[in-house]
This record gives sequence, C-alpha cells and structure tokens, in this order.
Amino acid sequence: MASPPQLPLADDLFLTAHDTVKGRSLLSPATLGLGLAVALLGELILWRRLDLRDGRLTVLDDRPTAEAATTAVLGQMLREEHHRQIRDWIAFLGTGVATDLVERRLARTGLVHRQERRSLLGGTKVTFVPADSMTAGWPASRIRTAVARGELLDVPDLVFAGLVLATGLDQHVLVTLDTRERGLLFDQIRRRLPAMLQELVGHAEAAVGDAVMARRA
Amino acid sequence: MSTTTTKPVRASQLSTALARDRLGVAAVVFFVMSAAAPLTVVAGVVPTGLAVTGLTGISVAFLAVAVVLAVFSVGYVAMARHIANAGAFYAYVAQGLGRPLGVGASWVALLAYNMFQVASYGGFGAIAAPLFQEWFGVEIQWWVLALAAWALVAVLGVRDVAVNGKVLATLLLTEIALVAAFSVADLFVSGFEASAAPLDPTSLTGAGAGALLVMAVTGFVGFEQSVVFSEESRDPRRTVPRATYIAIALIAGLYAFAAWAMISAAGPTVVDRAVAEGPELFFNLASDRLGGTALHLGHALFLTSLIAAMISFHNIIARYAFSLGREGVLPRAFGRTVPGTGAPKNGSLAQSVLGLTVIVLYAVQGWDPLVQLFFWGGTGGGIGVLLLITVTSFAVLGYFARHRHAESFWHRIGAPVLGTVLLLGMTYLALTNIATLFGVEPGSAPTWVVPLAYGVVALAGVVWALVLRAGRPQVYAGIGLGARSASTGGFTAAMKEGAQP
Repeated sequence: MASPPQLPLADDLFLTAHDTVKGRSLLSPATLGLGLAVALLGELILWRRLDLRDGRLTVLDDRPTAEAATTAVLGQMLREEHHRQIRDWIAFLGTGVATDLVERRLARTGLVHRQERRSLLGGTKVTFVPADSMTAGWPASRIRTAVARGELLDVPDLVFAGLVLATGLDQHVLVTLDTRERGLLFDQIRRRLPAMLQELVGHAEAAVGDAVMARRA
Repeated sequence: MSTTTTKPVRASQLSTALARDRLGVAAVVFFVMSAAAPLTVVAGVVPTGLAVTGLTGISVAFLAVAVVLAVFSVGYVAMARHIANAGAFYAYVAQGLGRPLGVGASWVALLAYNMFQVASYGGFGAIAAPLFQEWFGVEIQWWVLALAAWALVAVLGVRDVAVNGKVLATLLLTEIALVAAFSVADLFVSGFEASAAPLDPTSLTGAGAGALLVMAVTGFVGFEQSVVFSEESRDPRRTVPRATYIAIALIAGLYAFAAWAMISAAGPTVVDRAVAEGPELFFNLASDRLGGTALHLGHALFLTSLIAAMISFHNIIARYAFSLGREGVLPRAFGRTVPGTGAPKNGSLAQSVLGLTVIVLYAVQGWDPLVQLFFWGGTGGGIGVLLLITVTSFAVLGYFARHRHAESFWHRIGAPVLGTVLLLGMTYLALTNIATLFGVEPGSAPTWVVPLAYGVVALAGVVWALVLRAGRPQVYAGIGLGARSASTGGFTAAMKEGAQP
C-alpha cells in the first residue's frame, strides 16, 4: 500500500484532532487552537525561519516559506517585532487565528470540506471536516505503527507526537500503545528531538495547562 | 517594570487580540463572589453558628476579618504580580518560605477545601429534607438528597465546565438581591429592636472570640481566587487589587448587615430561636413581612446557592489537584484533562470519591448532617484557610525580603508585617477556641482532631517534598510553578528525567 505523503505538522494535528467518522473535533476549540498555534510555529522552526530559546522567538530568515499559512504567521511576526515571547504568540494564534489558517490550507488541498450547519437559534455554523477518514486517521496510525515496529520517527513526526501528548489527544489516538511502546516513543522523543523543539512542546503543554487553570479550556 | 512600559509604536494586532480577552474589575469580583455563596453563609452558617456557640457578635467579626484580609491582601496581590501560579496559596509559600513548606501548604489547602466541599453536601441534605417534606409531602432521608446533589456535582465536574459559569453568575445576583431584600424586611418586623450585640467590639476580645472569627473567615473563603487572573487582567497593577478589595468590602458589608438585621429582628431570644429553627430562622423572620411567595423563593434559592457553592468549590479543588498533578507533586494522572472539554477529570473524580465516602460514613453512623457535617466541616475548613492565609502572609514577607522588585515599602513590608501580626493573633484565638466553635466539651475529640489533621497533612507534605528533593530533583525544582510553567509539565519532566508521565 502506498503511503499518503506526509503533511505539514499543523495539518496532521488538525486531522488527528477530528473524529474520522463524524468529523467532530476531539478537542475543545481553545485547546485545538493552542495546539495548532504551536504546530504552525513548529513548522516555521522546521523551515529554519524561527529560533526558540528560553521562551523567546527570533526570526532567522524573513523570506516567505513555500506555503501561505506559515508565511502569514511569519509576516505577522515581522510586523510585530516588539513581541517575541512565545507564550504571547501561542495565546494570540490560539484565539482562532491558527485554526483559521490551517482550515483554509487543508480546504485548498481538498483534505477537509467546509460544512454549514444551521443552529437552532437561526445562525449558521461553519465547520471543516476531514474529507476522507483514511487520510484523517493516517498521521496517528503512522506513529503507532512505527512505535510498534520499533522504527525511528523523523523529526516532524516526533514534534507531532509531542503535540498529541501535550493536547491530551493521546487519550484518543495513542491509547492502544502499551507501557513498553509508550516508553519507546518517549525515549525517541527524548533522544532524537532537538532541544528547541522539546522546549516548543513544553510550551504547548503549559499553554494548555494555563487555559485549564483560567477556565478557558 | 520594563515589560509594562513598552509602548507599541503602532496598533499591534497581537496586543489588541490579547487585550480583548482580558478581564476587568467587575468580572473578577463576580468570579470571587460566586465562590463565596452569600445565602449559604447568611442563612446557613450564621444561624447554625448562633445555635452552636451562643455568640452574637458575628457582625463585628465579619468587619474585623474584612479589615485583616484587606491588609493581608496588600502584600498578597503585590506578590501575585511577580510569581507564576498566583491562584494557589502554596505557590506563595513555596517561593517565600521554601518548597518543603509549599508542599505542606498545598496539602493543607486540599484538605481545607475538601472539608468545605463535603460540608456543603451535608448542608444540602439537612436543609433540603424538611423543604421536600413541606413542598411535596414526602419524607426523604437527608443522605438521599445529599447523594443526589453529589451526583449532579460529580457529573458537572467531569463534563463541560464553561456552562457552569453563566448559571453561577445568575444565581449569585439573585442570591445577593434576596439576602439584601430579606435583611431590609427584617427592619420592619414587629419585634425589631436595633441590637448592639452583633456590633459589640468587646466580643472580639472576650471568650469565644476565636469562634466568631473562624465563622467570619469561613464567609470570606474564595476571596483568594482573585489573583488567579493576575496575568490576564486588563491592568495587572490595578484590576486584581481593586477587585480583591471590592469583593472583601461587598462580602463584609452584606454579611454584617444581614447578620445584624437577623439578630435584631429576632430579639433577645435569638439564640434559643436559632437552636429551635436552625437555618429557617433567616427565612421565618422576614416572611412575616414578605409573605409566602418570598419564603418559597428564598428556600429554592437557598438550595441552588448551596449547589452553586458545591460546583464552584468542586472546580477549585479539581484545578488545584490538576495543578499539583502537572507539577508532579501529586501523581501525574491528576494533571490530565478530558480532551474535548478541558475539564480536569481525575482531580474531579477523586473529589467525588471522597465526597461519596463522607456522605455514606455520616449516613451509616447516623451523625448529624447540619451541625456535625455542615457546620463543623465548614468552620473546620475555615480554620485551615486561616492557617494558610497566616503562613502565606509570612511567605509574602519572606519573598519580598529577597526580591525587592518595584513595590513600595507599604506593599513589601508595612502591610505584610501588620497583616502577619493580626493573623497570628487570629490563629491563636481560633485554635484555642475550637471547643466553643464546635459547641463541644473542651478537650473532646473534635477539638484536637481538626488541628491534628492539619498538622499531620502539613508534615506529610514537607516530608514528601524532601523525598522529591532527594530522588526527583526535576520535580522538586518545579514545586509551586503550577500548570502554566513550561519547565514543570509531564512532557518536560519526562524529557529531563527519563521517566514517562
């Protein structure tokens, strides 16, 4: 079976965060937003546009990336040069900005469909649902399979696995891992994920915890 | 502070978006008051306290405690601006007096908050049982009703927590209006005679002063939650301090007036009437003037007030456990949430298990739900919170002795010293007055069980912190930083420690 191509980090996270059957989000909007915010920042770090050290972001390279969502985030960062704390950016992008960018990117590639549902109060609610349950389930099953076979994950997938843990999605998609497999996954993340990206995932976990404490989650 | 004086040259989309979510004074006051449950205090704690202790100086106690808490709050809100995890007393203690005492304080807080929680189950059962008899003519055991309330809180606790906020807000406003209306009606009751006893300052120096002060402290519990919003208030230097002082003043004014009006309207036999009528005293007095409809409305609100208090405390406890779980001070499982709602599931479930155990224990033993569960539990929790506030006051002093920051002398030293002295006095009176507070013989079991429990729990926390320091330095280093810190979470700890969360 040919594997689908690996998608950008935030796309993988969005698809994983949605129920493959009904297309419902498995995460609260706030948590999904924070996860996608960190994922987009992670993509920019992987593109070598950003650096993260001690909670501060630095722009290494201001050239646009090859796609629109991360380019938009980078452009915003260049316009707001006095804001460099990653937690501010996670909070800002997490207010719905990141979700919006990722939904549009996925809609462009046809991986999600726009759905309009009329609510009881008369308004219409727009949601984006995965077009194909196979593709939607792919990122998580890629992690599970690799871990079960003792194969090494690449760096984007290690960040992805970290974000799955940080947002609590592991309670849905990694529950089938046994203790040994979980240990192997952690071992890989610990040894093979660069410190900067480990810090990034740590900020994702903290932002989610923050939202829980402040009753925003 | 350099971070707050940075002035954006042009309108920043990021600053604007973040500011939109920031809370103003009114929102913070609202949140604090919703944990305070005015009707539960005025109709539940005050008459039961009159009956159990026979002391009438409660209004002046509310006012005195308000002054002490306001002085304490000066340093408390000042320190909140500089530390992470500002909503929890133990964060102050960990950073002001060291991590071992911090863990001790965190466990004391869990015990105290849980005592409030189980107390409210007893109160609900005891108060609802006669009302159900009156309304529907059915006799239901108190514990059946307590279990029903418990089940509701347990389900709401593990589900969506955001819904609760709006319900609580509506209930709160109605409750405050009702307490005010009933108290004003008390003034026009035929036997009303303005009584000096509730306002007599000498009752704060005489026998039983400690009992009055603990009852009053119990009424204010929840005020400490204002600082949860330090990081997301519109103006960190103004919003939270103002909201804290306003909440304290509102609570003190409402409770002192309501207690005074009730005692004055009941006349010289108020203690006997409180013994005979219990929480009904508050309603009976005013219903002469307001009629049956007001009475029914009051009763219904009394029950919803208790439920609101239960839900709000349950959430505070669950989040406390969540925060400690994230730090690794409690098992990491407490640091998990339901992904779809963000509800801190395991903290909530643990609280519910404890609540169930206590209700069943009281039902099986046939203990009195009103006095022995609601009143003892509530005021026992009040003692715990008083201990925590006192230790936190020391912690504020300890913190500012080492970090000067940009705070004035009054914020760093003046108010904290004064507050600490006053709180020490209150703690001494409270611990020596437990027999009066509980209405039991001096030296009998309840008088030493409560302080002993706090002592044991605090000591166990200190020992646990020392164990962590020796065996898991990464967890130890993060004590007190809470769920917001990127250096304490399960993921980060797993990366550094090699253990999996």
